[in-house]
Order: sequence, then C-alpha cells, then structure tokens
Amino acid sequence: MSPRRHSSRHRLALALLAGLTLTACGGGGGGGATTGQPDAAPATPGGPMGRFAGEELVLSRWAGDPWTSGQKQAAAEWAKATGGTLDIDAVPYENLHDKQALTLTGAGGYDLLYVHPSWFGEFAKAGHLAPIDGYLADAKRNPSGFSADSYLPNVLAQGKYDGKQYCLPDFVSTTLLAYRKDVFDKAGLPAPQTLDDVAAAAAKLNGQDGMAGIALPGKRAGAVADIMGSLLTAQDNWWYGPDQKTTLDKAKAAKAIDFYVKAAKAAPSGVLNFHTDEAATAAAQGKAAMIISTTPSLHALEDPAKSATAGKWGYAPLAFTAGRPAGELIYWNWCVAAKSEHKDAAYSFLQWYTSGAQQAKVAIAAATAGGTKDFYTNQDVQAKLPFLTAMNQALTTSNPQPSLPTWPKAQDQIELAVQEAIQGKLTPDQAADAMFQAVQTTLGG
Amino acid sequence: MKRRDWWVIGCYAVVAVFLAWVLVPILTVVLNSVKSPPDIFSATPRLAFTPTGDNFAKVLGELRFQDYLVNSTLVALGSTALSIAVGVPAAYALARLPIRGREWWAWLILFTRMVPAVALVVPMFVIFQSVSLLGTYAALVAAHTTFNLPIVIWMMRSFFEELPPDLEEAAQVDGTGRFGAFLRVALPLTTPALAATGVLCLLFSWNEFLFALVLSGRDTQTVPIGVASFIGTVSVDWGGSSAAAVLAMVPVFVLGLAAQRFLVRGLTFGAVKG
Repeated sequence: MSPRRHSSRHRLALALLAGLTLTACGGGGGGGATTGQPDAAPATPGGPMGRFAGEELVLSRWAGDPWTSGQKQAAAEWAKATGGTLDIDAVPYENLHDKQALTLTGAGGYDLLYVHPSWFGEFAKAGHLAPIDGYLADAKRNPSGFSADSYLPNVLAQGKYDGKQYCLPDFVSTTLLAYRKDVFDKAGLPAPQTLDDVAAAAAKLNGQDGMAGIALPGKRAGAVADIMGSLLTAQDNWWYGPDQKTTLDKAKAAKAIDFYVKAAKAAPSGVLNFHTDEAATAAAQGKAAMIISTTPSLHALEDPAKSATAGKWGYAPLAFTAGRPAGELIYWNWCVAAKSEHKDAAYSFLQWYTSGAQQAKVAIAAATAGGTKDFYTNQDVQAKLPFLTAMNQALTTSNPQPSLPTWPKAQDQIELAVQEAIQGKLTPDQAADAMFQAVQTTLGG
Repeated sequence: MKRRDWWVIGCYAVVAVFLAWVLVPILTVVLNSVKSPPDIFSATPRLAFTPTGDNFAKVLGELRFQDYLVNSTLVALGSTALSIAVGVPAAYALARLPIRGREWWAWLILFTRMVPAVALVVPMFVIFQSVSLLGTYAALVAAHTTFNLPIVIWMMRSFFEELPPDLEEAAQVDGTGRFGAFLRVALPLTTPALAATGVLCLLFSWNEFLFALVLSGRDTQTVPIGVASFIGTVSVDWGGSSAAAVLAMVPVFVLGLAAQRFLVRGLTFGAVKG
C-alpha cells in the first residue's frame, strides 16, 4: 500500500508541533501489569487467546476500503470470545499519521495501531510502541504451535526496530502485471514474460479497439515508487543497503525509468494523475490491455460488480529477465501502543487477527495477503485470488517497502523524477541521476 | 439585433456557464449517490440508469452516517449559540460603548481569525487533554467558537454601527438602561443580520475539518470526517461518498432555503444608508 494524497505541508507542521508538545507533556510511563487472563485457552477452536472481561481496547486505523467492515466484524468476534471490547477509531488515511502522532505524544488513548512502514521507524524511535518479543515467545499466550516462526521471516523482520520486535504484519501486497488474455490472444501475442515484452505489447496494442496499451500509476502518491522499487529489485538493485547508505545503481535506475517512460507513452491520457485506483478503474472498464499496479487494486479487475473485464485477466510478476521475477514487499504493521494499559488484551487481538485463518478471511474480501506461512497454503484463498501464484513469485525476490523515518521525502523526489522523465523534461539518465542525488541527500550521504 | 440585446444574451451566457460550473459537480454527486458501481465507473457518464438505494442503505445502515449528522448538528448549534451569546453583546459594546482603544480591540479579535487553524490545533489538543475534554462535544464546540466568535463580533458590530443611535437614546430617555436599549431596541432591529450571521456560523462549523479530526473522539466525529472516510488507501467508495455528501448537503440546503429571506436582508443590511 502506498501513502496517497498526503498533505506533506500539513503533516510537517503537525509533526513539528507534536514534537514540541512532547517535551511539554512529558513522556508518560506506559506499560501496565498483567490484566485479565491472557493465558486462558480460546473459547472456541481457532478463537483468540485469553479472557479480558471489562477491558476496553481502542484501535487506530484508517477509514475506508473494502475490508473495514471485515475488521469491525473481527473486533466483534474477538470481544465476544474474550469478554473485552474493541472500538475502532478510523480516520481518513491522509490524516492517520498526524492523529496517531498527536494522540501517542499526549496521554495516549490507543491500545492497538495500524502503523504504515513509512512512519514505523519514527514511532518506534519515539517510544510510542511496546516491544512484543516477550509475548511472542510466551507459549501460554499463543495458540498451540504458534510463535514468531509462524510468520514469514522477511515480513516479520519489518516490525523490528533496534533489535526488538514491535509489530506483527498483515496487509501484505506487492506490484504485479495483469494482462488481458483475450486481447493478447486476438492480437496473436504470447503472454508477456519480461518487461521488454510488456513495453512492446503496450506499444502494439495502444489505440486498438479504443484501448490504451497499459495503465499504471503516474501520480506522486507512493505507488510509482513502489513500482520503481520492484523494477530495481528485478535488476538485483535497491535504494540503500543495510548501513542505510544508498546503493542505487544509476544505470539500472535509468533502465527502470526508461521502461516507465515507454509504458506511460502507451497509457491512457492523464496518467500523471493516476493512482492505483484510477489505473485499476481504467483497466476494469476495458480501457487498457495491461496494468501494472498493487495487488489490492488489481482485485477490482475480478469484481463483476465493478469490472467489465472480470475473468479475462492473466497475471505475471515483473521481470526484466525471464524467470527472475521481483516485487516489493508492501505491508502494514499491527503494533501495541507503549502507553496502553491493556497490552495483554491488545496482544491477544493482534496475534489472532494476524493468524493465517483470520487473514484468509480478509484476503478473500480485499485481496491482501497475510504474513504467516500457513496463509499461502490456504486452499480457499488460492481459489479466490487468481494472482496469488504470481504474487508469491514476486515476493520470493522482494525488498520491503522502505520504513526509514526520512524515506517519504526521498520517495517524493523519486516519483518527481519519474514524472519529469514521462513529461520529457529529463532523460532516463538525468532522472536516474536526480533520483540518486535525492536518495543520497535524504539518507545523509 | 440591438447592442443591448447582445449584452443581455452575454449576461445570460455568463450566468449559464457559472451555474453549469457550480451545479454539474453537485448533480454528478447526486446522480452517483443513486448509481450502482458499474454505472458510476462506466467509460462515458450514464444519464439513463436504474436508480438504486444501496448506497444510502449502506451509508445509513452499516456505516451509520446518521451519527455523524447528529454530531455535526450538536456541535454546529452549540458553537453558533455560544458565539452569538458571547459575540453579540461584545459587538454591541465595541460599536456603542466608549471603550478605550476599541478599534484596537476589534482588530485584535479579528487577528485571532487570521491565525492558521493548524497552528492552534495542537495547543488546543494539549489543553483539552489536560482538562479531560478531548473527544467530547464540549471540546469541539469550544474549538469552533474560536473561529465563529470573531465572525459574529465583526459582522454584528458593523450592523450595530449602521443603526441610528437616536433610537437607543430615545429608549434610554424613556427610562430603560443601556442593556435594555440593546436588548429591546438594537437587537430586534438587527434580527435579519443576526440570522445571517448565525447561518454563516452554522455553515463554517458544519464544514470544519481539522479541529474535528484532531479533537473529536470515536463517538463525536462530524460530517466532514465521515465524508472523507470513504477515501481509502487503495480505493474510493464513490457511491458511498456521494450518498454521504448528499446527506451532508441536505441540512445545509434546507437551512439555506429557510433562512433565505433573512440571509438576503441580513447580508445587505446597512449596505445603503437611508
């Protein structure tokens, strides 16, 4: 998922002021003694652990999107099984960071938080989040056989900061190519194997039967950087290394940008204003022969209620070289607030909700994937998500969406460089150079 | 055709273009609110479609948008009442009483309106949190009063200044005090202005977003937060947001119609001196 339509000026102003109030308000203690009965067995098989009669949890998340109602249902199920209550404080995504930062900086008020990778580092560093290593390692607090090993290691690792596990993952997604099988058959084109095939097919199909060759995001809202990240990973390159110094290879960045520019030339008009949903809407309405976007948005292609092209799509991971697919690991973190007085109950929900069985329910409704190993062997999910195989292939070679506190600034500059290349203001080489400078400056050398 | 006719046609054309510019988006929202997703997402806008009430059913059922409407109503009425209760006497005082440096006071009050809301919201958050009012209607009413009060004071002050002082002086000669002159003479004469000011306060409060976002709680979120909540991270619920927008517009529309007479009189009050 990508930060979208974010008011950086507004966010900056609030962040600065929130920082000032940090000193004024004091840090607060956080923590709290064990509450309820965290090691009580689930009331029903597969249910959440523990009994927390009378405990009232508040969860902070964004509003909207198809799976909100599913989450409310999960909250109600958890409450019924444990005796606690779980209220959801949902605010517009654009304002979620600011609302969370203000609330956590003050007296608290949240027990559970959905934390986007782009501000996970900021919150962990500020002490807003509670470590959960102890909970994960405590067999009494987890269902039989459930532990940190139940999660995909590379996904779980994204919730670590300074050696401590703070969050559990869900909402896993990546970037993929979807192509109209019927259109390719009619044009006598084979299924695209590489991005060169995609660019060539996009150019050939563009304008045929009133369709654009390909739809893809062009708006500076996060998804462009996600796709660029996948294109770099497909060339064994990445923005930065473990030491947080840039490792961006300008030649490989230029190759990725060159592909983006070629694709954008075969995209519907107004591509620079397309985010994932606009691109998916165009593709779903038969206005594009292909689409590159994030997997949750691709779900719309297969929804007969929204799509005139449902059932006509094939899916493939992004690859510059056939047989070497790549993607970007996009995910969200569920975290327990440091100031929560109900950490035991919060962990109970967190563990249960991120488990494979619960994530399968979300996946079927919203096309996001879970972070546990058993999720990917769930037959129901495989039947409902036609792109799960391609998604698995992409995630096999993937880098996680950057979670450095300073990354949003670099991301914006990366997307600006792509936009300027699409507009012809910069050559791919110049855009790659601008990208390198932006990343290097943001990372501090 | 006479030159005057061309002028009239030109005027109508300008008005028609302006109305289209203003009304087409509203019409689109209204139509989308009763369209199913395939009709909303059709490549070319569909005017012939089978209307559906699904969007309203979802918005009022599962999403309980009526709660947002109730919250907005309470906050807007509360803030408007408080602003008028405090602001009208203050405006009268600034218009009539021999207060030292009253122009400076008036400008100081106006200055509070010039401070960006984003600069006020964090201190307010801290204050309301320290007095345990965060997430309550009282916090929102107080916050909205900060921007409504200067409006009331400045608008009503100008209206009071337009009234001939002789009327109040005559009342005072007849035995009433200054407050009585204000209450029984000045205030009734500015009723249209008061109504116009009240409507403006209601509208500002109804549409306010930032304070409502930061200071409201789960049970006190207002309409702007509710409407914005249909924009997700990877999708926008166009049908739901359109239905919510229609529901948000209806009270304002009804209020505007009901207060139209007062609004026209109030906003032109004192525009021409007799």
